[in-house]
Amino acid sequence: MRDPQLNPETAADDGFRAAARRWLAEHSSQAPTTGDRDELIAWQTRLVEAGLLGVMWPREYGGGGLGHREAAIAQEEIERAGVPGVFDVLGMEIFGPTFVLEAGSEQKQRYLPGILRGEELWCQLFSEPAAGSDLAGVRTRARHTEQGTWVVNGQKVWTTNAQFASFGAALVRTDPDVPKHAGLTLIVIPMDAPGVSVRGLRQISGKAEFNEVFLDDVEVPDANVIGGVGHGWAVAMRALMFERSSMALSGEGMNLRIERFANALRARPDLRHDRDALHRLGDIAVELLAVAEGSAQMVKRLRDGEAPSPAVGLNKVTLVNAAMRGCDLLGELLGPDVLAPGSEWTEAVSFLPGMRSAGGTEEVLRNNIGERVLGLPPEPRPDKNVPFSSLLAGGAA
Amino acid sequence: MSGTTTEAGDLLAELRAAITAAMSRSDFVASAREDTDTGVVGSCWELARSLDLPAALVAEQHGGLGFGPAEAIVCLEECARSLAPICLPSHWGGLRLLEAAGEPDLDQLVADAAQLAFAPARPPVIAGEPWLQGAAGERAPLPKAARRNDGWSIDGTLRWVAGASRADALVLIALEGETPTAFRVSPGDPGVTLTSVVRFDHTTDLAHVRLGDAPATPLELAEDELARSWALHQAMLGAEGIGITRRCLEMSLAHARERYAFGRTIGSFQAIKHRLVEMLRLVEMTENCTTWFADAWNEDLDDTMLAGVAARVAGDRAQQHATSSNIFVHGGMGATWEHDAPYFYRRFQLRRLLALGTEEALVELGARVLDRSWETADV
Ligand SMILES: Cc1cc2nc3c(=O)[nH]c(=O)nc-3n(C[C@H](O)[C@H](O)[C@H](O)COP(=O)(O)OP(=O)(O)OC[C@H]3O[C@@H](n4cnc5c(N)ncnc54)[C@H](O)[C@@H]3O)c2cc1C
Repeated sequence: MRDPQLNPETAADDGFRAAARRWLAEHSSQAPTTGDRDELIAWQTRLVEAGLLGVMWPREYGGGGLGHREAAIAQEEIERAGVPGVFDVLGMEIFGPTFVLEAGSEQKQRYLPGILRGEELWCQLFSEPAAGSDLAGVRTRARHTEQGTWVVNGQKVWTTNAQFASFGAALVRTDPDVPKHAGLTLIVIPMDAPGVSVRGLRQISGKAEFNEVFLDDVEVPDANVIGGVGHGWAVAMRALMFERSSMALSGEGMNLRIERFANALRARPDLRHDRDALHRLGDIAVELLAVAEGSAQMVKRLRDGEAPSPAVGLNKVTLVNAAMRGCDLLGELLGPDVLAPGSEWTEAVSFLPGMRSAGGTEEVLRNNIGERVLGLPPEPRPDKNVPFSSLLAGGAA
Repeated sequence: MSGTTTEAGDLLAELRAAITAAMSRSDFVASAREDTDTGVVGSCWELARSLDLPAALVAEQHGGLGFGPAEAIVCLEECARSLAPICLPSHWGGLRLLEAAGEPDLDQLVADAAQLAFAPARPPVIAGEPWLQGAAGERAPLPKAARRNDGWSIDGTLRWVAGASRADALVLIALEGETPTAFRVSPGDPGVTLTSVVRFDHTTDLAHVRLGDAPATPLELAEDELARSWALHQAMLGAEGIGITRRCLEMSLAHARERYAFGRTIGSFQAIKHRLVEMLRLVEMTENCTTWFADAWNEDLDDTMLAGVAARVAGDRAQQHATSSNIFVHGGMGATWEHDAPYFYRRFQLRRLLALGTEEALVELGARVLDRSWETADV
């Protein structure tokens, strides 16, 4: 019934796709199969060199200089080959793309090649103990000196990869006497600068993947300001947009496909006749299948040059909530061994609750989408048009 | 409507605009209200006919529009969005099987815009389970087919068949011994008793069909084709769910932007905003599934079956939330006869129970996902 002409898949004959597939066919056997960090970074670098990652980054900084179309094709082919893709999500998918749009040319020259070569990892110094959802409430203070430097003081928290990173992109307050969103600046902090201390924060799993980062009189040059003093909010929003679409697309990366849950249930062949269990599995399957298909279709739309909608944030909400229910179901059907030390499900049960907050909490995403996609009015904001300093004085501290 | 642009997306958008424009010339919600009052079930067959919709899925050489699933989905979404009183999934399902079987009078049926009704049946999804049909709570067996001197006859009951009381021909699946076979039955023949039923929703034509030694013509179709007819039916229900949900979201949004309470518009309250975002989330999930279905249709039978049931479940979930939240967002007003919201709710209350019902679709989805896992383990 389907008109083949209407199918963009068959209409386009793609040299790029063929080349990508050929390279992957030749090299996939060398892809890392364990979670070893160094191997994963080395593999990421090989994908960059092969032109399969950093596809849209400018050529002069080591990127492919190609378009959405090729980037999406490369991603489809990497997924098709079943090999790992990006390891340094923060550099490759969040800050690199942000800098391509927001940084000056010397800054791009300084930072982009290091990300692409996998030599310099990045972390995101945004959240603070008193500023998570309300990110514009950051208090880390940067003061300008007469020598043309900035001295930064404050504390960041839940900073993923701070322990490995060469640089952190910090959202700091440079002017407390203007409304909260206006007084912010994005500054690059070398993580080995004097005054930077990183302390691991153990998570539910017991492992410390994120950290507290203390900044005590950390001095950085003017050249480290990205996008202009006082423009930090716009740059940070750009980064968060990249973060959310990356999370929406990388559901695969989190390995929470319905197949994985179904495979686990093979331990109980009797479930194939258990209508109640099948019903409950179906209830989770519809969500996970819809997300997986949604990501695949989004890749195609990006390929056709469409910008991702802020509604992509809903994919994370669906994925994380459904996966948590999936873990609940496994526990009920397979028993307490699901929670045995070292079990793959113990890991999932441990990291999923945090994923509800990471990259924006469910409530914050729903607010954002209600306002930006559905055009609904925001809640009244008493904090919005007054100087940040008066909010602190008013007892917000 | 059969444009020549090569860009698939543009073509679908054009199609959507054409259907929306045509549908918007009638106020189907107002007719539903009136029909609910007078106790009749509406029909917009003549309008559908003026748009060539009845034969949209039939190949062009037989007088149809040659639409594939992607175009069919758009039509269904827009008809449902306007609450058009028509059972296209049933009609299209029947007509498609007649076309696939090469019925000689197909061109005539198309030219006459004859109405078909298809009684969808589900192939076994759990080992040892028979083919099933009927509404929620029944899980009824298929009718039985037997050879008689001059042809075939069918015995059994098909309840809750959408579109059946107005149908010129019925298409059903019956068991010939152990083998499921599609048959065509004429409602006027001796041995065929149709009883119209109305349940809560006056946009859905429904009938019970009793077959007692009823004459029938077998359709030469492979069993895969019968399985696909079930998947297509479910995907089409999902597509209708998209239209219903989108309309409820539009109505709720318009109200939430205007209604004032506690000094601000209610859409600024998080509890309301999040409900509306939930409608968006659920409808986008359904759209992902119907798009998947359209892509899988000519490619892979297993994916087609899985995508079809996923689309149905997602569409039902979306409507379940949207049709009742739409009433709720409108407050007391939403709970009145005069308001539009209840007619979308009425329709979903009935339709969720047809074709075995939503909850049975969840069992099927779980079974298919688990089966697929076992199959990959077996190779
Ligand atoms: C695994 C993980 C990794 C992370 N990695 C990083 C990182 O690398 N860099 C970084 O900067 N940050 C990181 N974060 C921090 C993350 O961005 C924040 O946790 C998140 O933004 C929420 O902020 P919060 O923790 O201060 O919670 P809060 O903002 O205090 O929220 C607490 C609760 O209040 C609710 N709430 C808050 N505001 C509203 C509102 N307006 N309406 C309704 N409900 C509201 C929230 O939904 C939540 O349920 C990470 C977090 C996790 C869990």
